[in-house]
Amino acid sequence: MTKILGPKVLDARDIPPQLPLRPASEVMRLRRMGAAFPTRLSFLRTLMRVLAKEDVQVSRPIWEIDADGFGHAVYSLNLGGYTYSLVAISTDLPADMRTDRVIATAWDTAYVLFDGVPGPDDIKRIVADAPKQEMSRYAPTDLVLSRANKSVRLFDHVVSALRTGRQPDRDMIRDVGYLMRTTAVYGNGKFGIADRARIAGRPHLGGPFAAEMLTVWLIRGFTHDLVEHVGGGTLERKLKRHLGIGNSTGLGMAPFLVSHPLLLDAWMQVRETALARVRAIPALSSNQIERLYELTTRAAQHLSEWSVPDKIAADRIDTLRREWPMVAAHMTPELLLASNPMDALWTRCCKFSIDTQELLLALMLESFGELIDGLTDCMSTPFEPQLDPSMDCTALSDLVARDWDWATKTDFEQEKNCAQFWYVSEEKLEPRLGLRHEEPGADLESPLDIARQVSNMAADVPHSGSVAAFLRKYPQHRTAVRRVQTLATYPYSEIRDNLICETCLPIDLLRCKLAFFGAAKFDPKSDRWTRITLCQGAPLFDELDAADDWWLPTFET
Amino acid sequence: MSFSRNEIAALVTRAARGAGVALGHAEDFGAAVAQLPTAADFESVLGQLDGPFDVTVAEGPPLQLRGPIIMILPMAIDAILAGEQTVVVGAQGALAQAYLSRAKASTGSEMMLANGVLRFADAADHPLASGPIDLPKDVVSYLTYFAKATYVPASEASRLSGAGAGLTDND
Repeated sequence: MTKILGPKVLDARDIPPQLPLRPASEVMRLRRMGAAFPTRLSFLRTLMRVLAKEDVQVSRPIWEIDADGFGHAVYSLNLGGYTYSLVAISTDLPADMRTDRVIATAWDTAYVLFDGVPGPDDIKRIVADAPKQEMSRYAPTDLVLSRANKSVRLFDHVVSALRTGRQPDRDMIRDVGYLMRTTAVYGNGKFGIADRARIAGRPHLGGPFAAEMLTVWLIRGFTHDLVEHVGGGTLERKLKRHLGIGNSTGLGMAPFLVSHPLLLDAWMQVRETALARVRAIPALSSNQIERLYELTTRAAQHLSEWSVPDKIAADRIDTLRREWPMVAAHMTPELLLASNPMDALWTRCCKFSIDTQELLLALMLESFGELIDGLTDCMSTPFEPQLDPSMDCTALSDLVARDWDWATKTDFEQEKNCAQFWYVSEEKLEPRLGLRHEEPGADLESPLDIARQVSNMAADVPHSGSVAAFLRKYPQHRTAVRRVQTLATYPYSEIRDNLICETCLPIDLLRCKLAFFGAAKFDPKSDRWTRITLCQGAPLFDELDAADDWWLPTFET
Repeated sequence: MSFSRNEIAALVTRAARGAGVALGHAEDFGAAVAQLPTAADFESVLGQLDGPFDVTVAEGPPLQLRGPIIMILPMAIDAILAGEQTVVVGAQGALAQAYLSRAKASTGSEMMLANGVLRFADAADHPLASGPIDLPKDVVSYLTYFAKATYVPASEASRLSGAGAGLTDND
């Protein structure tokens, strides 16, 4: 008799053990979010693994760049049965027009990631429109819109060196780390480009910002080709690999984490689950121990190569440099060969600074791809926050009492607790942060004051009746109620800090999101502006067979 | 001019905020309008942000809501989900149906609006819209007018305090 096998049912043996996740009350604080490091779960790392697994080949069917480096080029690749093409345009930008700010009106280069193979008319349209960026409109076949400015000093130096048959100065390559900086990478429907829904269901592009990360990686390759073309020479492979793509990030990215709570929760839950799994590892092999030592040394080297002028950031790096050897000192053979070594290491290192803890987290995840990489499938979500109007007001009040004391205990009448306000300037719609008591515009404040909104709502909630009835009387509290209900189900969806207080540092929001992208070498220029590097150490177009060992790359790797 | 659905939702939400609509209702309005199936349906947006946004409530039963769609449709859907059998709203048309499409997508609940009365339905045809839309010029102008009301006027001081101010990018 033939035995008919039914579908495999997951049981406890299939799910790796894990310890409890770190509580959201600890993780979702700005200071800790602002200490995040890139991990192997970041979107760029995930993409690179996919490109390697799919054996993606990048071609360059069009190269119409003149001797001075101006013109356009097209790069294409096939992924998951679809072709994607980067159309890159390089134009001659006067130095006095070069700014990385949102209010810029011209850039050194402009890009579109095109869905398919662009025909002559598509290329003509994109070459004409992309340099105008936000001032133009785009087609649904345009998936991502971006622009980048040269790192002028380094770009010119590399060109000069190559023209004389030399390689560029290694210290400059190490210290700058990129030939160009993107200043915006737009996706998901902005300015008429395709909605994310167009590609979300396609193989390998469903992950968060996958199309944007693909675009950035292709742009990086273009910058290498461009400098070699203008310089008339070939960069040493190791130097080229160290040249990533810079990025200047300001306040535009900050509201995203507030306006996409379920996505934020997904990212955090995945990362914390990964940590919980690694901490639950019962024992390590000798290979795994060796790998930990190797990565610890690499992290130390990375810290030694990471120098920034901003005082707050520099102090944090100094703390990391001071504490990291102490972390390493805990990684004795005795500890690593004992049972539950990763949890033992984690527990012993909780006494160190927040920055060191978050670096250790990234280190701990790095060695255990087989255990955690699959979790990245859970980093995107199709869901939106929902309101449950049938909830009783008493239950709503209970949720506020349980989850929101960090908001309701704040006295927003005190100036220090509402000192700042987020807004959008009429000037090219640049997001900005103002001082409420010193400058105009607070009456047009953007609604990022979540803590205050919930606090105000909590004061009006009655002791009985449904949420539906409450919101008929108080429609102004609709968003606040939705956020309270959302947090009850998605504990990592809320940044548990007052985003309008005088001590709020927007850069903490930026760094958190950028770390999830895979950015490193954070170089804050102020509390609301930072440069970072993406793809530094990442495989070049023809190196995808060695695609995954570039966490915290160092110049000597 | 072709707009993506995400762009429509963002513009409409901002426009509603600019018109003085409560944030949560502005968000729901943006999400609903982004569901309008055809360009012609978007003409129904015109006038929706003119105000006032007062709502008259008669608790009934049946519950009766009178006021602009942007306020009463979310309240009516809330009431049905909270246990009301019917809600009298007096609303109809593509925009009202778009709210029901969103409600179905987000809650799985089918609702029907017939003769100005909202109730649960066994089945209703509320597909989610997708793909870009060529918005009528008058609708774009209307929404842009209100959206601009959320922007703080440019000033030298504001520019100087913006991210990246005072730095050189020619390094």
